[in-house]
Amino acid sequence: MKEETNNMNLPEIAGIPIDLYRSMQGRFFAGLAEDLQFGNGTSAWASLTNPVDSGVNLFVWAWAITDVLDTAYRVQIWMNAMMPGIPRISLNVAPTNTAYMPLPVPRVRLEYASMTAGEPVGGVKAFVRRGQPGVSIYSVEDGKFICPPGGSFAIFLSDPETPQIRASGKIFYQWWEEETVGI
Amino acid sequence: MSGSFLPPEFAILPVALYKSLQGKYFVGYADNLTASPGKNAWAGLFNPVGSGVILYVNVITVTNVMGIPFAGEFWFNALFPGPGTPTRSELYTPSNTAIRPLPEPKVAILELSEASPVDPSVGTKIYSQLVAEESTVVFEEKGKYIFPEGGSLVVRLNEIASETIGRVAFGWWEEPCS
Repeated sequence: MKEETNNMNLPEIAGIPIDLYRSMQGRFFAGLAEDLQFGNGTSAWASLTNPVDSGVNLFVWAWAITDVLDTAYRVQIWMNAMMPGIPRISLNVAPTNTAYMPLPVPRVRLEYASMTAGEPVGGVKAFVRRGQPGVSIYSVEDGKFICPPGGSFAIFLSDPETPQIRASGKIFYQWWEEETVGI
Repeated sequence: MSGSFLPPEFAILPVALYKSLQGKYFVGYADNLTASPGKNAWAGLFNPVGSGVILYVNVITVTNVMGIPFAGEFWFNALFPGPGTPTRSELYTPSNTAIRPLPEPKVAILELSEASPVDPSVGTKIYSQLVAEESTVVFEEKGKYIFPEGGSLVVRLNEIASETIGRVAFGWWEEPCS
């Protein structure tokens, strides 16, 4: 190649994406909530819940809804709301950097509930989506949804349009955690 | 606009390109994984004990060749029960083929067809979704799934309803352990 054909000569740098960087730091986690049942007039949800005493802020990197097969459905994203029903805690959670010793343990909990009655209370309904049967929704948020200790990021599934149909699905999250700045 | 406030310009090399330039990036796949109803199949990236490298998984694809959906599951650091002996896939290459000698990966792709449907006793299932007939699902993780010597990322084909053929492909890089 002749050099004189191109006089561009910018410095080159290698970019480490922020999700890789946070994983290298042992701050990045992924988790799955399965067998979320809703329909028949009920709802289901899965949330990243940041405990009051966690000492970290939650940064939501990405979320996915998969395997809702039988109906179109409503998706509502709620921030910092009280979710209905009795939550269970998913054990299908892991640090994405499994070479980091000791193995990082998330402070944020992946909570979920099925066949709940009623709506979330308080907080903000941040945005909504419509889901089509059999079509996964995968959304990368780049960490821009940030929840403090005591806050949460929840995906709420319902199907009031066809309340005679039962449905189920799965919700997947990726997130990182950063220590809150001291008082 | 005043030029004095313009930030400097850089050409940004994506991390996968940067690793490929160094001969650290590899791609490979497990072809024709088969499973009958009541069985499953899996293929994974295994970082051997003593490899001297850490495994960074960048891309995972799961392909369903046949006419019925199956569940594609991602497992971190799981031990899958027998019977059956996994085989090593020979279908891999460095992504940079301009380097001499060609780099050889330390990480191996192991695969097992017609495997036991029993869940592994250790390890974490961090993802699962149905893979529709005659389709491929692609996950680009930018290397943030990281595994030490002795670690693994396995994709299991599960919930097999009829004779199933799947393909699982990976893109990854390897860095020396410090």
